[in-house]
Amino acid sequence: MENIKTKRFGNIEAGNDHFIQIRDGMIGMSNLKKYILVESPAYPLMFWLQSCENEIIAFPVAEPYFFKANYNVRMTEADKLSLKYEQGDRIKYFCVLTIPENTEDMTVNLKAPVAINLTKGTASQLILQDKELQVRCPAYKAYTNVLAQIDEGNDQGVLVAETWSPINIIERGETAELSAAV
Amino acid sequence: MLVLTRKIGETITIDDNIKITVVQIKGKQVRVGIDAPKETKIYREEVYTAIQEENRAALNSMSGDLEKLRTPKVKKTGT
Repeated sequence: MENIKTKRFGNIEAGNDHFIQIRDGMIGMSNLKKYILVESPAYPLMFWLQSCENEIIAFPVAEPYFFKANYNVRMTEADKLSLKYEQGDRIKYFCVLTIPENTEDMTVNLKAPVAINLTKGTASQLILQDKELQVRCPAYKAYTNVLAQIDEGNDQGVLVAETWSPINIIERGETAELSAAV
Repeated sequence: MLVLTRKIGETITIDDNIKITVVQIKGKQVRVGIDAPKETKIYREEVYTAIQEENRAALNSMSGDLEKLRTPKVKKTGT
């Protein structure tokens, strides 16, 4: 186990199952390559893609299906190579959220999803060719609609960091897709 | 920046494995064809820049007000 320093969640213990290698880094941040996915129970739709190499770097991410039910990703050969993708590997997609001071103006980047190869523990931020997909797609309404359907809560009032191994992500993803379809 | 003049159908070779060919010129638009190793990522510059900027903006989300994004139950018992 390794101790990862984070600004938002304090110290997090993470093991090999939790680490996500982003070979080329996030776009514009090619020097940071090692991440973990952190969840806070009070925010059931959101994860934080936290850098292990820089404590202040953490991207809020959510599944694209909340914002676009028929979200479809076509990976290029270059994308597959950066993910070390082989047939049969399980891939999960997350989109980066931008939450400005006025929360209602929050947007989601549907154009450049982060693909995580759950089988290999690799990830890559893709750029999709589809011209319909926006870099700044309004997200507040869709997000809070899905949120309103979720009945469980965490009353602690304190953020509790929790790391997710790839297997947990799969389970979570499947239920999330169901609630998005409601 | 190195500037070269090319005619339709002519190519520029970069290193051993990248070739850029002028395919068509139509008014102010130029269509170029690119041959590169399959691991090479090729993007339109303005799209790449927009995503770079958006990633930076996303990193500031931490300082925003996330209260409205919590679970309903937490919101009710919040204050």
